[in-house]
Amino acid sequence: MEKLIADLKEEIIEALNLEDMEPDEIGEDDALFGDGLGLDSIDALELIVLLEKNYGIKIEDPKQGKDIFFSIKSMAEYITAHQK
Amino acid sequence: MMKNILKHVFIKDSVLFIDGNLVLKGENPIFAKFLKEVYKFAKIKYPKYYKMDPLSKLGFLASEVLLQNQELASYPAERIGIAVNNRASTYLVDCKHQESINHQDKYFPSPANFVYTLPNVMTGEICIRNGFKGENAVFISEIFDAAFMCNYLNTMFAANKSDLMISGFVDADENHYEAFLFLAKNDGKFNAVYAKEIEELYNQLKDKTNIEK
Amino acid sequence: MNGIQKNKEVNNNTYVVSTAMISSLGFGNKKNMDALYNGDSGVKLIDDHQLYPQKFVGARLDSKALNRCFGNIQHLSHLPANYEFTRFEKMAIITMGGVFRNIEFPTDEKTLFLLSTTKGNIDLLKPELAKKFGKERSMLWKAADIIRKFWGFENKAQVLSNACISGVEAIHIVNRMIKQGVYKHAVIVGADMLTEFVISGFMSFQSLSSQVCKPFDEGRDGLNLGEASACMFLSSDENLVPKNHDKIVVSGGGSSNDANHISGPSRTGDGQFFAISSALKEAQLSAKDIDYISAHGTATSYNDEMESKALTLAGLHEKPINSLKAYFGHTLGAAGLLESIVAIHNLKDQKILKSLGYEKLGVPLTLNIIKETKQWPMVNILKTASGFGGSNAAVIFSKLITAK
Repeated sequence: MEKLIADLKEEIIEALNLEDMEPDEIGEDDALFGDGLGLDSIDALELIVLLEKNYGIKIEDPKQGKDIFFSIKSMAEYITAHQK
Repeated sequence: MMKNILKHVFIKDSVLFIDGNLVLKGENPIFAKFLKEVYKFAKIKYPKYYKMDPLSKLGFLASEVLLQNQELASYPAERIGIAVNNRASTYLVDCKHQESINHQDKYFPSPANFVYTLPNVMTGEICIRNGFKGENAVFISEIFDAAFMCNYLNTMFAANKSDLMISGFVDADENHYEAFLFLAKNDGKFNAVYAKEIEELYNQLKDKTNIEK
Repeated sequence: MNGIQKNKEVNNNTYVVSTAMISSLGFGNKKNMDALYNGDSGVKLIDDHQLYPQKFVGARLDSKALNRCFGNIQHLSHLPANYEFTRFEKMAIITMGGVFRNIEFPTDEKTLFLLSTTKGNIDLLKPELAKKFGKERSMLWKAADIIRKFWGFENKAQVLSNACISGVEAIHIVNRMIKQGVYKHAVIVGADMLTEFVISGFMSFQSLSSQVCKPFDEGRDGLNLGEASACMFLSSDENLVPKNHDKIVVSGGGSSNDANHISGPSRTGDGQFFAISSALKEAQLSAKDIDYISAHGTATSYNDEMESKALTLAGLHEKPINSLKAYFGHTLGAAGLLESIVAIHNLKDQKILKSLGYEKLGVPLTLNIIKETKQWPMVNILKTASGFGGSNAAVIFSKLITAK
């Protein structure tokens, strides 16, 4: 799980062009949306693409995204549970 | 200074002019790297900048430099607008999007990319940054069309739709990039902006760039 | 020489002299209006791997009919006989031909030709087409240049590419130029195609519905994409309007930016409200003078909600309102022209169309969504549009004299 979390941090920084950020600046429990990292609706859609592209997981219902993408940790847990 | 033009900037081939004065000569000829130099030079801190496509970055930076030290607070937000001319639309990011759909086994169109495949998202970013709520438009032509852009500005000013307009030519392609932006003021009379003066200014700045690069 | 400079005292009327449209509902004004009054939709399930790898719901133009139609006018071209035109160019050229059918063709320096489009020849970025046509041909200025050369226009073509407001904004900007005498006539074409480029992009936004869209409805779940081409000929010369036709003018317009988000609409609607107010002010009208509104109504959750707020702020919530997106799909750069032309025909026919796809109100503020196609007295009508980049536009058409 440790490695997955570390990888996710790097992947998210790259996919969302968070150029100013370093991986160690993102806490695994930090809220990604709203007050945390302040990601927006397009970022949310981009994370859906990231999950499919890098982990082969397709999210059928975008409304699930709110829970899955709450934090890096919740993303890692979802991936661990659903990756083929 | 020309009639009703409060300020102008020009970015091309690793040089930046403000009101015709060379203020930055880039260390790096590569487009993306020179943009970073301008970002630093203008002392901007705007995280959303990094999400932008190259055309939006270029337009955004040119507008940041243009609007620095300009007194805009006295103008209602709805009376400041932006209308620019452009050539290649969003060709660079269009190619990126096309790449992402060229192969069935690697079919991953990116929403963060696709949102930038419209040239007016560049002007939209400038409006968001500055809170400009007035008229906004992007016109496309092969070369900068000063006559048409000034027809647009003058009829717009004569109809009293805006007090200030950012206008000019912003373009980025594989082989070149260019941003010519000026801030035009409505003086309440017809023919606020002279096409001939704008065209001459544009050509002078291009010539100056050729000398400097 | 681009137009004529006149002094600001000139204040012409901008007459809608002639219009033409082609869409998923058919070719020509009559075909489209008959289909609309009949309640037909051009939105269908499309299963064509040449166009897009998966099935999707959209509104498609009949390509065979397009080529047949183009074949009939090809001899009018001012370009060499064997010149190969792209599908997009054919779409634009055909509707321009439709507009000029009964009038003497002004193509001199007093005429502006403006193309409204979001992506033009974007299909030419596909590797096999890029190889054939080259990079320059995919550019919007190049497509506009070829289209104007077909018809022999003297003036350089202009292109407005401002997302989904392009069509409405084009009418607004051109109206202003004609009013002030910068141009005497203008031909505006709005056109956009269904392409894999655009479909795949909207799919990545998760904003497409898998059924015919339902603007303003509580069950709405996204938009349908469509393709169309629509052309309007505007002029300050009253005598160009056919003797037995109503005189319809563009009485005002407005454009604004939400300054909020590049793809999400404002949550307050004040940007679109401002565009509407600006149009009313220019037309010297107030909300009570508007008889019908053709809204943007894309059937996405946020757009329709925003529009309900904007229309309420403008005091227009009790006026009959519809969206045409379930009939035509969202035709992007063509939408503003296409939907305006339909509204103009409605104005001539004194008939309003039911808002297809609507059953139960699903926006926070109550609107008077049209539930059945019926006769309706109208003098002034409003067309609105909103688009990516936070842009908004509005335009008003008014009937001056009823023909006897």
